[in-house]
Amino acid sequence: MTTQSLSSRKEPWTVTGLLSRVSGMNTVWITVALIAEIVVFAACLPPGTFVSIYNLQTILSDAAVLLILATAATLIIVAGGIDLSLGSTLTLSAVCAASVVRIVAPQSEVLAICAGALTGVAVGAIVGAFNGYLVAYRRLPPFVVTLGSLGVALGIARLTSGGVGISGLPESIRGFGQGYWLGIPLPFLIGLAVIIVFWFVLELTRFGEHTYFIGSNAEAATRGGIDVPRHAMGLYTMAGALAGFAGLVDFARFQVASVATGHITELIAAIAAVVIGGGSLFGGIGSLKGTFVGVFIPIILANGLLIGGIERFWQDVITGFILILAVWFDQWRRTSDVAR
Amino acid sequence: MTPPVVPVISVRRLTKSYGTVEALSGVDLDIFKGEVHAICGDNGAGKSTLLKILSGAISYTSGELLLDGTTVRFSSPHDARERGIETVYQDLALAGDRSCAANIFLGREILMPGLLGRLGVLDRKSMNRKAQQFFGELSISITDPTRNVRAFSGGQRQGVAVARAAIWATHVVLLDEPTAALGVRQKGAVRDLIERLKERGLAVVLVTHDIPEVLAHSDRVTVLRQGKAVSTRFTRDVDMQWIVGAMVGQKVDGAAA
Repeated sequence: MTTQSLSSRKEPWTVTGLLSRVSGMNTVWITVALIAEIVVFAACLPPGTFVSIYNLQTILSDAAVLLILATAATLIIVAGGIDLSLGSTLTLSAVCAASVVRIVAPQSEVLAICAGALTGVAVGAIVGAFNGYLVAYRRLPPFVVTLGSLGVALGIARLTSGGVGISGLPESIRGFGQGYWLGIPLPFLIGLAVIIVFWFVLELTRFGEHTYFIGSNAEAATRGGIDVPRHAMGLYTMAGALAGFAGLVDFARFQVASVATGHITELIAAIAAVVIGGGSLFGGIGSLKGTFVGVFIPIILANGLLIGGIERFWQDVITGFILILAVWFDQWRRTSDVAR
Repeated sequence: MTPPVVPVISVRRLTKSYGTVEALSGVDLDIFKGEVHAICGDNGAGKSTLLKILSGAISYTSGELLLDGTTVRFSSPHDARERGIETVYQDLALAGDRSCAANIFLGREILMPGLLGRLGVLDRKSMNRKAQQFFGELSISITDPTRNVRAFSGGQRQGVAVARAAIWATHVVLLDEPTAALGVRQKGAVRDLIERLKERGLAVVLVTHDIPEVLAHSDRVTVLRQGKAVSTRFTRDVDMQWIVGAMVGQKVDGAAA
């Protein structure tokens, strides 16, 4: 009997179940793709440029903000939603945090940093809660809600800052944003810590299980007694807070809260990272392990192109195409799954 | 004829109105422990309205719903589940991307002991082990509960959904068109499952418009027509013609009361 042979094909590591097996397979594939990318750049670029300690540090620093943003995107996508406002939430949070720091800094730098950090995360959480309320309780499509709040948050950020970036900040922030520990950039360590914490939440806890369940079948989750709107509201709020936190890290690193781009490039890269990492825009599938590897594909691409002296806007073009390809692959995988 | 015990579920003069439309108008029904009670009727007869009331999805307008002799009014499906009424929905309500064990334990997860448990960390090992044990008890052909539901056939998925109901139900299992999407052999498997639910002392309510299924599976049958319970009989006393007649509104109670 075919069902018998199917179900008796046991894997030795049954604890985390099939999901980890599937995503594990996926992680293997994207790791191969990542290594290929690295090999190509290493071969094509002048020696001592791409392959160097300094450049490795640069890559890790560059990855920091994206790790946090992609963590937020993973939470939402796994639950079957989408958040297009993460980039401009980051921008708004950074601008608000920078403004607070600038006002408080003359009194006390320590107080300024604490107040700024709190402001950044709180502003992000507010934007997230706004999205979450409309998506979860008012049942509006997340695509439209977060597209709207993308515009709202960026507009407010530009109004607050007068349309220019906020700079001229205390020296002590620089130490934090550009510091190293054992040669590893501090921002990267922070991003790594964030993704590990949320990996724990998503893979091992009941909250995570419910998140996957909602993404896979929200109706079944409701019937199973999960308060789906409340859970979704929590996820969007959390994602917003994470975007706010990413804004702080970005600000600490570059010493300026920039309003020029609204961090659209980062948003595309974050969503691409999730999908490259095996996340499905149909919900229910995805892992932060995959996202972690997925983050480095656009980051190293940008880095390699920069070193190769190629116009940096090509990064947007290529990352955009990678996102589309990854979604295409996901769709193909889904339909062939259903057909089976 | 009915045994001198309190019915698990009693429905008294139950009415459900949507504005001026009455989906149910004064239904009476008793369901006993250990019986398979079929509720059948044509489209629009009120089957699904009754099912939704019993499963807690909607509330009733007037009348009474008694569970073990006590009046109840469920505020949600979750509420009904808490009181021992489990529903197997036609669409099964399973998450294809999650493991069979995770689906079984949805909303009733086992947490790790101690600090990890307080952090909400799942005890997947225990849940997998128990799920496996349940599947064994119910003779459901799933040997690896850590596999995703999506990996299994329609019949096996049905098995997961029924197993989930059987495990958590203390009173009643409601089955909504359980074999509508299944092949002949899988239908046989569902019949065996229903027998095992009975053996566990549960009342099984089978909501369907598939008459052969009613004749094959049920002990008693209630026919609904235009929101009313037309007649309730022992299934062994009736045939397909009688049920069809009752469903379409021919006089049925002339023969015997």
